[in-house]
Amino acid sequence: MAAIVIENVSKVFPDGTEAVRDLDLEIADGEFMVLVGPSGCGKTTALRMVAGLEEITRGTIRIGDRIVNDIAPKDRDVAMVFQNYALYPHMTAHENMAFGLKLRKVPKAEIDRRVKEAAAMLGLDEVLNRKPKHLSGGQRQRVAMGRAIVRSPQAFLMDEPLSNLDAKLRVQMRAELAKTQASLGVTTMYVTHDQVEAMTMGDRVAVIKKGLLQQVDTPQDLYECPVNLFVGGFIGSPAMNMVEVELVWSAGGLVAEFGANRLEIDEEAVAAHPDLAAFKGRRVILGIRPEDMEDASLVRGAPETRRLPAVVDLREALGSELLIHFTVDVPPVLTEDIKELAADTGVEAVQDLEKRAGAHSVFVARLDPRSRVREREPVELFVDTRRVHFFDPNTGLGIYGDTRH
Amino acid sequence: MVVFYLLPVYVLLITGLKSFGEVDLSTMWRLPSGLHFDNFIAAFRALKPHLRNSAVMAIPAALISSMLGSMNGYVLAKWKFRGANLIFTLFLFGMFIPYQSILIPLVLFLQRIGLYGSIPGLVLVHVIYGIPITTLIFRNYYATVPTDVLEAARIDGAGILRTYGYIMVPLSVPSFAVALIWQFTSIWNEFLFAIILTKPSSWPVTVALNNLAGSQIVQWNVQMAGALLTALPTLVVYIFLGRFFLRGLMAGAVKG
Repeated sequence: MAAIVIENVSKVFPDGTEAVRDLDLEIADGEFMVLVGPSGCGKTTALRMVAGLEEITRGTIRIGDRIVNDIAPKDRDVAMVFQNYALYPHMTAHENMAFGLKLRKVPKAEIDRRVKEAAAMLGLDEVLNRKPKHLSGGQRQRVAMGRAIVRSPQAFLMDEPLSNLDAKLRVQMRAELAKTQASLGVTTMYVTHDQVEAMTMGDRVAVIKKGLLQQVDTPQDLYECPVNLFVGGFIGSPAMNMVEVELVWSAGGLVAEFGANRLEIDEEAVAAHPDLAAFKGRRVILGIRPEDMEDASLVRGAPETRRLPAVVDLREALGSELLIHFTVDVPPVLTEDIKELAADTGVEAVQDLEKRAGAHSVFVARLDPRSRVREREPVELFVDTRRVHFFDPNTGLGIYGDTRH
Repeated sequence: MVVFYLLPVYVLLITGLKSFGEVDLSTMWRLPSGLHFDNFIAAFRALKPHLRNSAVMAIPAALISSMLGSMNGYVLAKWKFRGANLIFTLFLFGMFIPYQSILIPLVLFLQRIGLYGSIPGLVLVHVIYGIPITTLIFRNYYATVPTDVLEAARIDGAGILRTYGYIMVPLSVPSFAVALIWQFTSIWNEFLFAIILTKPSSWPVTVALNNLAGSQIVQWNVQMAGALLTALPTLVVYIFLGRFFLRGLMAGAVKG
């Protein structure tokens, strides 16, 4: 096992596209690092450069204490799990797992021992003699995993290994995979576009946009202190609600005004974001997570100054929670970051966003299921302004202060 | 349609079984009076050394050209180098060169390297003439093998040769069946090169069959029996290799 150090790495393809730009990333020994970002952001290219399947245009990659730039994939001592499993179709599960060891001239008894061990760990004992076409999706995924495990490599490289499984199996395999990695303690670089996977599996998560690393942090820090609008909008589901507001200092404290709405910002939040002082009287982007809103009738003593009146457009009852969609009469935030996020959802999302420009924005709130709100009826929402986020509308950067940056 | 196409086969078969006296244009559709297997024995006796020649020529030529085609196809499909597609196109042009147009230089060339008139010389010519079609067969098949599978092998520690030996060859058994059947059949049945590039002792069976006909009379019954004997090996090859036309060999390698 070893640390992976990526220093200043860029990848330029022959056609001139720069898939990865000046990437600096250090993955500690035994760490589970998740690279997350919209499709086409360069995360897979980064992984493939570590694997040796893609040449490095600039910069260096070290695995352990070796610079691996010019080392062939087979000599890097890494194992990779592919998105589509990439099993050898003419070999049984056992042969698939044993192949790498066989090529490395490991004694047959030792190969057998290791394959059996991995198979036991992954629950594959019964199907070792079957060929891939006679295995279920989950079993194929596990064979692909087993092929990596038996090698006991310096590092695991995983390229969206769960994205081809159906939803239920994906959740199960997510837990299994994280558990397996933790018990083996192998340094792991894991690529996904699914932020839920990133949050639940990663020791740390690296968010990438258009080949540029945005932020590397533990899942919780990423969620609580996103460095910019992109990270704020990408991490969390449903996504953070964003609105451009005017900051007004009044006798009662700091107030965010947008449209006909006024929200008093809690002193705690003001104190936690000292840089806000510089934005006095200016416009900032206010970010409110869906769960930081609540049906005011369910909050005892919800202050009048921290409420948002809304009319429910859509109500989604999920049992444990209740999501409501409502519109706010201010134009949606249309920075490049937000467009990038919409583009990941689909072309329609971008068009939709631009159509609404100058009209209204859609907010989503996550309420307690006891709430009695109904569609097309008004509701008073209490906003927990201790936990709101602020971003500079010009740079898209999060506004924090010396306490953090 | 089927009946129409099988009519010549019918005539071939019944004539082969007739006695010489029965063979006549006026009775060509009639069934033989008895089964005269002696025609086959006579034909076999005359053709035996040439059947051997054909086998010694067609089997290695089909095998070697399939192997070369498979290696070419592998490199052209999966180890794309600069100009790989251009080279592939040039390979394909090779298929359209008419045999007749190169006969004279070919004869001179074989004389120069001392293989003219021998079976190895004929093998060499057929191997080279077979490369375009076998390359095409294998390249198009290998192009459908997911690149991820090869990359997995690369990370598992297999280089270009071991990936070929351990992964590509086992996966292309059906393509080998196609290439071998095609090559064997066309080399076995080929006549022009066979007659130009050989001497009587090294005649393949097609040439010998043609010379079975005497200069004065043609023993049609023996001729037909000989034709059947000549066609038999290609049929056997087809039946034997046809079993390897397995479908879905790639199933389960990748999802989707």
